[in-house]
Amino acid sequence: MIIRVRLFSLLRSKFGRSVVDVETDRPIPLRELITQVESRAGPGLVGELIDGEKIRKGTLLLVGGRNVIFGDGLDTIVDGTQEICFFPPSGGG
Amino acid sequence: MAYAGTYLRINLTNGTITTSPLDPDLARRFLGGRGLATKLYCDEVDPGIDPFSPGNKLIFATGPLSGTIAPTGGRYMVVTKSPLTGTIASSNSGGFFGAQLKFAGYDLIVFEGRAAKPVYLSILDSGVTLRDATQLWGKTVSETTDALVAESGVSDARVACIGPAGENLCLMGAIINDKGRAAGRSGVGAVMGSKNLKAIVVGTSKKRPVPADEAAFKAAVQESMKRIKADPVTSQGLPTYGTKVLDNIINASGMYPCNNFQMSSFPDVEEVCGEALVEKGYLKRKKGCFGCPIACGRDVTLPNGMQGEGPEYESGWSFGALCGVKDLIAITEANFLCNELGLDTISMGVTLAAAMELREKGLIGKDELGKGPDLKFGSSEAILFYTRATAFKQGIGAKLAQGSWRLANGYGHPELSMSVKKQELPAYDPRGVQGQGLAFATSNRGGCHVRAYLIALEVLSHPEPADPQEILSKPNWVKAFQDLTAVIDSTGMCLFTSFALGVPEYNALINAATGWQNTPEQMMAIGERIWNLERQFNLRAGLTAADDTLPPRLLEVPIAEGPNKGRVVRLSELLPAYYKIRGWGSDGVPTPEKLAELGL
Repeated sequence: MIIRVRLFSLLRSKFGRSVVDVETDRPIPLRELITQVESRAGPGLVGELIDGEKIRKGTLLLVGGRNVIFGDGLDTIVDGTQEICFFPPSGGG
Repeated sequence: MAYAGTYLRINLTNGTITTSPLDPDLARRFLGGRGLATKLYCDEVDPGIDPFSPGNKLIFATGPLSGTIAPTGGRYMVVTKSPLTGTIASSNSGGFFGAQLKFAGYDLIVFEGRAAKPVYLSILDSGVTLRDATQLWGKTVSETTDALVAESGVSDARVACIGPAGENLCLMGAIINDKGRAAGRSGVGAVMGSKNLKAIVVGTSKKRPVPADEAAFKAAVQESMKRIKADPVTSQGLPTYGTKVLDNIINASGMYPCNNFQMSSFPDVEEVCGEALVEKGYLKRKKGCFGCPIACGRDVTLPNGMQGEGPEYESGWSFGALCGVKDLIAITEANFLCNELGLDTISMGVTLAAAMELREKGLIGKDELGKGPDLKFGSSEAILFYTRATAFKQGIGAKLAQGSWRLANGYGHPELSMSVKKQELPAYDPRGVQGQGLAFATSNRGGCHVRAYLIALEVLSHPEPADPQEILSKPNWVKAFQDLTAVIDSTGMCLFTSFALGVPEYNALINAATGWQNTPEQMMAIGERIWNLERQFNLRAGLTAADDTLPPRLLEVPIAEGPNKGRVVRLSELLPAYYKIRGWGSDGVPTPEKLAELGL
């Protein structure tokens, strides 16, 4: 299956990619997906999103439009059926 | 003290100009800006007043931190009674005008009465004078600004003015300063127009306000600057992409209203988002207001050569997704047009979207459009044509100029107006974010995101994450956001600093600037006092708890698709808890005990 990840804002400008496709033969945890996205988009992505074992403060990892911090966090299982979006800390209004 | 210590009173009816000393006790209780101006206003104006009558007053107010070295300390507030909502209006703007007013030696200007013919106020080293503005009437914002700067003879003079929309009493008329910064909401520009007051120009030599404790103030500023520069939002996200960095976040979260809130995500968001503004090459440089280390402003040049400031997130959304328009050039042109004509971009775009739905449902007939393009979702031509028509009240523009509620009500369908207290809602579908829904419903100036920006908490995880669908904690959060925002709006600083600063930092800045020794709790009590004062004004103006509500679509019609499918705003559960936390009765009226506690 193909899991499509969309990068936004500073992640897009830093890594020069707006979309990264990851091919996998099974559903995987978000943590593993992020590592695989880094292998395709370039070094440093994991550090942008994760600080040790935690999602960085203000970083938004949306799976199916829901911030995973209110669910299973980095253990959220993704399988290519959900829209996956990564955002760095953001503000506005 | 960081106050100038003096305010100006301009009687437009008889042309008298007087000065008065600032009452230090009032300043201590209401701080400045929004709070102090509202207190002065409430003491002098009957809440039942017709906003367009000469008896209404219009106050321009700086805060104690305006014009100081505090980060973003360049803002000012315009306070009056809104002709759009009938509530208290307080519209905030950045740029450089606010700091310049403070440099001139004034904390506030109170305008009263009505001039017999168009005038402008000139504040120069040679004196404060009312001058004839007959030749400026009908001019756009940039024409007016350029003419007044030239006439003043001071190259760095700053101008706040209205455009044709304010002159023509459009209920969404804005006051624009520095050509591209707006005290936009609640029709404050129309009140200015009703007084035949075209502009204020300030071009004096600069008397910087002196903080009470200069060493402590410098230390507090350094600490604040350190935090702003360390925070990824204020040091990277906002400077790089501006406020439009939110387009994709809110859309992906399923709360980006589209086609007049009939949908909650926009398939063409990539065409119009903040990233697109950069990637298409339209953004030429970022732009900061006075004393701002963030610089979220956008200096944009379109391929057709048009230049200007913006669009901001809300403006881009109102003319874009909410009208179903995916043409970033047309959206940006509409934003420029609002700046030139002096219109509130949020209310203008949301009113157009309501008109498009009225047309879609056959309630507005083709014959009403004259030679104009069809008012249909997705039409770039329509947003430009009818924005101009609104400012000049041409054709159906006369109805659009009344705002979405009066427009829709005129066709027998007020429920199609996406507004609260008759003011148009901003760019978040509250069915997906419950706390923001409560904040919209209880806003003292009607539909508004900057009376309590719960999106920060519920979507952006500032100051901490809170599930957008959880409701038990939200009444407390809404109160805290409302009170803190009232404080920030009264200091002269920008609300965006709150992404990096918290209560202790604001309190340290205020204390050092004023010489007070407030605890953080005492500072927050000032915010609560301001909020209750505004509430009392609205109640005396005839509003009731029944006005603390949302459009029926948001309360009764579940979102049809996306991550928030099936959801509505649970206002009936949120509102009673909020009233209780506020110390108000179940009728939404502050109890005598609460008023006594706040000294009101």
